[in-house]
Amino acid sequence: MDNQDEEPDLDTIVMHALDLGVDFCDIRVDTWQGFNLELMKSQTRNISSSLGHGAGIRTLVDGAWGFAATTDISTTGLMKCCENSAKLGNACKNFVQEDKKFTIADDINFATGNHVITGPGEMDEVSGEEKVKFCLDLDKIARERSSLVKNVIIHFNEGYGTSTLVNSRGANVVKSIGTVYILANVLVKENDNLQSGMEIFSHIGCWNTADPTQVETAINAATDQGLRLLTAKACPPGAFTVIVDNKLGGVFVHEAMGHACEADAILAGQSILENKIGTCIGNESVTILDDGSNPDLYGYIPADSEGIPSHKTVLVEDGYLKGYLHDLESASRMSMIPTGNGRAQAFDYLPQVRMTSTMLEPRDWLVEELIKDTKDGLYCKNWQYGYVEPYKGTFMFKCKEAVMLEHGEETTLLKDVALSGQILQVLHDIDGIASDFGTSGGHCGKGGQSVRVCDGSPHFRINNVLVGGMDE
Amino acid sequence: MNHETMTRDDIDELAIKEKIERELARYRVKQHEVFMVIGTSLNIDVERGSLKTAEIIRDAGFGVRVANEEGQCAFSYTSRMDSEAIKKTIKNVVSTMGQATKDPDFHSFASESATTKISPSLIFDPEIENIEIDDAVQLVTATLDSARSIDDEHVYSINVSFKAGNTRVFVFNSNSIEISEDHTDVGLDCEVTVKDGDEMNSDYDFSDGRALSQVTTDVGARAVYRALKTLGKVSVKSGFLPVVFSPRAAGYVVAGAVALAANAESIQQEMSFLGGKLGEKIAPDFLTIVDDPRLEAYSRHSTCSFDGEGSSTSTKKIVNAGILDTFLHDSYTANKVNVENTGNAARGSYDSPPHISPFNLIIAPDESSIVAREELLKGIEYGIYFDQTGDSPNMTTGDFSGMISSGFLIENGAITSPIEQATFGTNLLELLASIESFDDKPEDNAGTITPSIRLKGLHISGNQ
Repeated sequence: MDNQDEEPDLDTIVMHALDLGVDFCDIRVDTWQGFNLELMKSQTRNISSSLGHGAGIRTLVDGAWGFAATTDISTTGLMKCCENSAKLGNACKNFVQEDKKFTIADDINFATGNHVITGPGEMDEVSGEEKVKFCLDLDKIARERSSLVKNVIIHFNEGYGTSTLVNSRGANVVKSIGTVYILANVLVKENDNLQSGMEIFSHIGCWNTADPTQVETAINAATDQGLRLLTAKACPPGAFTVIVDNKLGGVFVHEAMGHACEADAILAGQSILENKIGTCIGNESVTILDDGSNPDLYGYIPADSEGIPSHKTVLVEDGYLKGYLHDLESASRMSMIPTGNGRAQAFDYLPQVRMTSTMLEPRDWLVEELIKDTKDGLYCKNWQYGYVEPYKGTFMFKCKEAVMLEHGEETTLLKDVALSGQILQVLHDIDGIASDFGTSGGHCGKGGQSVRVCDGSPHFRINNVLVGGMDE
Repeated sequence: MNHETMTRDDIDELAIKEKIERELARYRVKQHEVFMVIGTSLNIDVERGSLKTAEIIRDAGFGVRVANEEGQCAFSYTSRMDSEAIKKTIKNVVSTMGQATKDPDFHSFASESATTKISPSLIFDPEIENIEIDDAVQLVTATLDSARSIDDEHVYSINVSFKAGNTRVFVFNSNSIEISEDHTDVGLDCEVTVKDGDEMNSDYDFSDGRALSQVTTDVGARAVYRALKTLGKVSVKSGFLPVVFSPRAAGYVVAGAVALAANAESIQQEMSFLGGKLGEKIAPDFLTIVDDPRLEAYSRHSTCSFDGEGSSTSTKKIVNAGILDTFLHDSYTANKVNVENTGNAARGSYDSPPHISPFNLIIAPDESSIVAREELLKGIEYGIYFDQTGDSPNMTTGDFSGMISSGFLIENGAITSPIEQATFGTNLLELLASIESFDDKPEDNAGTITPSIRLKGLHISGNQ
């Protein structure tokens, strides 16, 4: 176990796989370091640093994937891992139905080159002490804002990783990226009434390149939200006309449309959008796209985990379903072009079809006009979480707060509002999209894997949304 | 697959322990705790009846926590076991400790380990360690055959997945805890999508345990039956309607939510609606909720001798005859308020510090509240059989609203049609108070053992 310092030659391992008779092979080697800090009641809980590495080797044999992963990345370790992967692929090929077999097309352009978005050592440019102090300052900002603030919980997560991908078709791409993700949760209490406000800050790059004032703005917003919710009422259940803000709109686009467009769900017979390409699935003002190539957004990837360079993919254009998101396998089996959406959480996971930065394009309503124009409805802001069941075509998301709209005026404040709808209906029910635009970063879970994503959206209005809540 | 791929191969954990302790001694660390995991898993996925992927994941690493006299405490982990990684990780964790705030509430890592261990035969199956890929594929194929034996034109796709793994967990700390345990896990899942015109739906069933003999391939047919029942949806009236939770809903909404709220860390951080309610009545007298990490029956899903800090696990009643009887503690939360550690420090793997969690949760109602399954729905003229939700409650307030992702109409005392999109809203304390009765057929869903539960009702919002 003490031979891990040598640099294994990945091309040699790939050649070894081909010698074992596989049709295709790729290797991902990840190295990473992390700094995580949880602050509660002005004290650090679970402050941690980490470092590690590992490799995943995938082999394709007659349409069957074999995959093996290891944390032993010595040449011997990788050779063994490679043999395990090929052995699995070979053992499985007899169980793949003829019509499910596929190959990786010859004309695919795989990425090459180094993408150093964050340099090595950048994570250490700001010391751990300074990061702790910064979080303690955030705690102080919230507490000084109101004596009703009882607890401030800050999760500060910073990571830096290098991922190298080599495959038997010439891909050779190295990505070095840092990320910062801060979640601020402010608990406020008045008599027995306990509420919380939450904001998220996400950033591509290490903390040395982040703008701390944005996090300070976020902690103030979280505190104000918690304080506002002390006076909020429970939401009455029923069907409402709903205006969603940028953050909730982004989650809406991600949950209501994005997941159902993932081609692995289509192939698995688990998406309501199967065979719907070219059909009208929404209002003519609806255009939705996924684009992992924007380095300013939290869903940025220079290339996906299979070595396909990221780029813009139009999912819905003027209300018509235009395309799906693909990885190598789904593109091959559906005779499409891979869209650069094959993403794995880490070396020990197989890539799945995943979104990157998913966005609804703005149109021409002014937000104020949209509100004024709504005689009776809800203005829903910010999100807690959301999920979708693409096979049923239903989605659900929960927003932190909402305001009742009566005759175009904002009236009663509401909390914990759960919105649900049908994928095939809801885009038709959008009847006003604003001209503003905002994005928010987060993490999306699917099949036991979590990847960073970004959702972007203008304000927009949807009719007839089913809202869950309690009668008071 | 040959045997070497699933065995723990060449890692000598005692030699690694020595190296780690030598490094810790160099920095004169006062207190430490190391959690080491060495594991291998085999996963097979079948999609639409055709094998899609097979994978072997070999994972090994350790997480280390250190603390000084002033209660500064830090964690670090590495997925490497070589000398250089050990040195770097210890150096890292010691320097990170200096960045932590001083915590007068920190006293010590766990101090009492398990004196009695679970019988290895209950949690470790050599057959899993030695499983050949052909055996695994045969199980998957038999599951597919079971699903296909239900001849119905509405079955659209069948996906099956199989997982088997073996893990060695080794914990040692500066309070002389040194304990290890080997365990195996196995699971067979079947997910079936059904289609009728434009209506599409999916449901699943699974079989899991610690020994290969515990999984049954009839999970295929069971999944198909479940999925077929979801076709032909009808809309629901809105209002406060009587509700019966299926065992899987009851496990999540009742047992899981109460255990989550009884987490002592959440209580101490004032983030739980159960704060200040210890010893108070929070549910009807006939309700008892037990956390039993030493469960020998059912799947033994989370059965283990010690927790993520090396403390002995113990069986405890979270709710005892309606009274909130204990919170779930780890060494930190127990020391902080000077109560007994319940041994509920859980750990996903070596890459995260411990967090408080229940192990095997059991809803154990009093006999007086149990009726036969067919009696449970009696007298409900119009209500909801609530089978699944993907939503989670607001643990701070106990408010819980969301979508019923799978449910059925109850009409005149019988389950009739599956329901269309409907949402619900309640508060968990109100929900507990409204429990009326249980059926006599508890089911095991991944280590949560619950019967069906009848409630007075929930606020339901439907499309009718």
